[in-house]
Amino acid sequence: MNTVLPLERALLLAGILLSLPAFAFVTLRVRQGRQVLLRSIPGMDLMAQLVGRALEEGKSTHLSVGVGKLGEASTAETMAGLTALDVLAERCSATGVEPLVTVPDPALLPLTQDLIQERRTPSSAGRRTWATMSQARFMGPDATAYAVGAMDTLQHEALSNSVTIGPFGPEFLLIGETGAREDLAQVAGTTNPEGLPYMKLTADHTLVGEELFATGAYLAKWPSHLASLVIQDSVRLLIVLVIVLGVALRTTWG
Amino acid sequence: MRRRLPAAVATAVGTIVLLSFFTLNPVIRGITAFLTHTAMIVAAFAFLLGVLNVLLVHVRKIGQRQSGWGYSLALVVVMLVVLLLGRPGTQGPADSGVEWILRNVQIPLQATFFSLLAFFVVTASYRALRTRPRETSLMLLVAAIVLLGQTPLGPKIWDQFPALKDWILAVPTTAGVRGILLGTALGTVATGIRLLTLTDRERYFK
Amino acid sequence: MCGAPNDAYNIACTRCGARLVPLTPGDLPEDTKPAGPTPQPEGPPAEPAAQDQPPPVEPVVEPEPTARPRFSEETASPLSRLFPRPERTSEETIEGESEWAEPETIEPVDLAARLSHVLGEDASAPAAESAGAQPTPESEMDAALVDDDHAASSPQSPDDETVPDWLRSPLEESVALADSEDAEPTPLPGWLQDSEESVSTALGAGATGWGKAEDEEWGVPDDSPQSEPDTGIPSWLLPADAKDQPPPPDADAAPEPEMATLPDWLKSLQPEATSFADKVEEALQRAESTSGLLTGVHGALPVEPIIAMPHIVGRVQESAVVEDARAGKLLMRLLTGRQPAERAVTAERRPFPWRAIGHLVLLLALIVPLLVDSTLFNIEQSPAPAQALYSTVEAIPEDSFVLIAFDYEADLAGEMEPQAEAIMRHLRSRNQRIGAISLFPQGPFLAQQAWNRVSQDQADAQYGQSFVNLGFLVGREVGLRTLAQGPLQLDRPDFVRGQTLQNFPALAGVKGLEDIQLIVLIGARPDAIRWWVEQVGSHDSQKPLVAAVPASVEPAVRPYYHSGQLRGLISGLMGAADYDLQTGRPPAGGAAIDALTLGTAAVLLLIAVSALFTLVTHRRGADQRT
Repeated sequence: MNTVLPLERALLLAGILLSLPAFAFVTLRVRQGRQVLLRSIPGMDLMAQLVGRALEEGKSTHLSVGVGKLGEASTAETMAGLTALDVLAERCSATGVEPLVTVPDPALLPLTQDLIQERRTPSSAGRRTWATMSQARFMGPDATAYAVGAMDTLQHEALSNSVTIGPFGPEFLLIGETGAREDLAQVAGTTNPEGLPYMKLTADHTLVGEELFATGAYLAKWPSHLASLVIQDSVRLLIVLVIVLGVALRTTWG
Repeated sequence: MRRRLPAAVATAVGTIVLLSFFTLNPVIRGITAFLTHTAMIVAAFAFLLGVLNVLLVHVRKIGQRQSGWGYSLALVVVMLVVLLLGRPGTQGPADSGVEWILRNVQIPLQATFFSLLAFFVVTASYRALRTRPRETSLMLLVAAIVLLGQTPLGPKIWDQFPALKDWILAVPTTAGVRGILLGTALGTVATGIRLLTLTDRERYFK
Repeated sequence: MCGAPNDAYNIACTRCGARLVPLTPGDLPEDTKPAGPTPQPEGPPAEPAAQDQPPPVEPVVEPEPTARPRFSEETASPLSRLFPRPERTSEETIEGESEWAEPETIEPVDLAARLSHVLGEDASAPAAESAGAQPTPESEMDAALVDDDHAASSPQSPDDETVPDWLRSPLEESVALADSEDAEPTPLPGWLQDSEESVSTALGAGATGWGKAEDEEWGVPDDSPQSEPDTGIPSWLLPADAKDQPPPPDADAAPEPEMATLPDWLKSLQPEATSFADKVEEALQRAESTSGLLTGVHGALPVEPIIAMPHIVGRVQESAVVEDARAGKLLMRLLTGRQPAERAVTAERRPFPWRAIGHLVLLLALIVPLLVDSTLFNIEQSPAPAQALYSTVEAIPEDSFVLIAFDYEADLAGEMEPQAEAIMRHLRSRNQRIGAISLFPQGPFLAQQAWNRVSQDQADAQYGQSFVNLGFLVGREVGLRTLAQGPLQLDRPDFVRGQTLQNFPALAGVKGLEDIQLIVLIGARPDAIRWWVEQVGSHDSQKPLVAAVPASVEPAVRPYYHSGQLRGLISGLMGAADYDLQTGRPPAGGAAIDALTLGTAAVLLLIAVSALFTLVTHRRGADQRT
């Protein structure tokens, strides 16, 4: 076993520690009213309209947070899906549209049920009915079983649209193609390169890679999410500069 | 207190587990090992919730005679049978009955559904070609080169297909994947920081 | 909205042109009709206050079971007011309109009848008929309204005492005006006769007749205001017994009335109605200003409709729908009713089965090679990553312990098993001891199946000595971290026999990660590879890791191979064949490779045909547009 902390971990720790005050500062500025410019992402624009469309059609909206499980490296992606659920559930509660969430991890069940419940309007808060609890559904622990369960949900429930944000592999094609055949408006997003081509083929709009993590900033304008987006972009710019510099140096001096 | 206690627990656990990645301190590593074991136990118990949820959804469906309630009935029956076969006192998942169901029902079904992807790809490609002809054409052209390079058919058509496939996978694809991984890593760190610093506490710790 | 006070039933603001009523086809006629005489309170008619108090006729109106909703209060939910309808495409608009606009709200009969009343038409309608017929709730409502109007405004009414002085003078003026008009029966001015004719032309033949037919069919007496005796006096000005008088036997037989002549100064004020819609609006406004307690009070602001209705600004021209409500209803039926559905059904009945044909071609391409066990395509050379994997396995000393992670499930077993078996055969040929572990619940089953096949052609391969199944590792990433940081938990049972792991000879001398010489990752998902690389590989960077993945996962895993975190990599069926080629065995799965190759060719062919078809149809569509 190594007895010295590896250099890359030390660098990572330094980066995280440095980003903390920057994050706090930017969050404060955003809370004080500092505007953050956001480029247009078509998927976000469509997602902002989905609840309204569901209301018009008198149908529900489906949301999936991916085939990942809590505690994995893809938990951040799952959290991005939960952020989308947070925003959509709030809008659903304001409009009376029922959200329907399918999950592959039973540990996500209480989380999603609580999110749906707590985002309800005060008048309906605390009404934990069987119907409310069944708005979050466990499909199956493995990816294909989950996808098949989600297919069935898309086919047999009265849905207007489907938002699928989180870790997805090729099994997404089962979900996406079914949604397309059912003529649902679809927004999909993942960081998994294996699932992205299938999203491009079947979804109306696709969120690629880090765009997933901008859901809270785009849809709800939460200050902490806006601030973290600013920090992410700054670090990304720094990394790009380092890469370009490294390539130039390597090309010039070998 | 109802808000602060969960928030404090979440922050403390997250910080300790994060620290264990950066330190060699045996105490912190021991605490981390305990916490990770605890998380595994919690995750295992969460499956009970999953079973209850499946029962709730499908029993309601059967009771209300919703469309496809027969399938729900089959699901509930099979689930109970498997639970019964793998009950405590048997070999659990290695029980011959469970293994038989897995080998003859679960695996063929799962493989069959996954093989549907081949068929779905064709129809999805056709639809995408009609709705987004330019980008889909480009994507499918690259896919065709990679597919031909991966199979013995490609070299029979043009002997440079494998080399072209390797170049596509090694240069543009890997570059794109690395870019995505980099952005994902940044997003993951940002999400972790938000959770640990409790900037989202007003939303998640009510 | 400019905030200017407008008449209750104005469609558009008289000052700024802003639309005051929403534009739903079903609502328009309802909006524009007077909806019966305005309920007038008995008390002082101070406009806003009067609206706050329920008018005395309300008890009569409320029991009406078939009372149509005023405007869209019943069709539009509070939520729809809270969230205005967003922009929609033309198709959505059509669908949405059918939901929002109830066809029942289009009732030209009322409009026609009330317009006729406004225009002083139909003096022949006998009031006695309505009085004698069985009263319907609607007729009761109208009668009550008329009675109430009459009671409230007639000088002979005992309630006259309740009319305040400030209102008495305009009331008397209006009565005087009515008396003067009464001296010349049906004295319609020329410009108003035009309106009347237009109304008769547009609505009489269609809408009015339609409404009457409806009434006759249901036995509803025609008790609309047009049935009042044409005395030129509004109904509320008639004496109480006037309504009981028999009507003239034939209106046509009545003496031709003299044409009224307007004074010059009034003619100069006469508006020029340029369109029917203008005439209708003008007539409606006149009606409102000459009826009810507010007679003479021009521009009275009806509070209730203004507050209750969400006002949509713009597209005032749409009010032309009023010109032909029946045509509008027909249009709505055409757009949302039977005919489009029939068309859709017809279109769905006989689609050419392109999809089925495509699927059949693909199915044949995949199945036929497997059925005939063909060997059309041969592997001739092995790529560099497969060679690296082979070299890594070769570099391990014999009789070492190798851990294989079976991180795949049944869905991809067809692609993963040949790779797993090829590597296991190579390991066994080097006399390595193998331990199987899995992060997925199905993994141990699949590992055992693979071992059973591999051990069939190896006489010395014994479970427990050459191979042991460690089973399912709970917690995935968390479990891997535990595996990397601590000793192996060998006090638990194995997957097959349920015996304690530390008793198996295959695990002799193995206590932790440091005793494992090689880790082989048979991973179906990039995550599975990443977990091992991050949790185990980063813990001991010297520990060799190699991977076998599906072909679709290879792009995501390649960066780990290029960075040296993976010492070797194979992918897909071709990867398995490559590896067999390396080990000197004939490539396994010849028929499967044929099926893969032909299936790929079929997919490419179908996509090419789709692209061609799309190109042709796009070009044809472009030609048609040009």
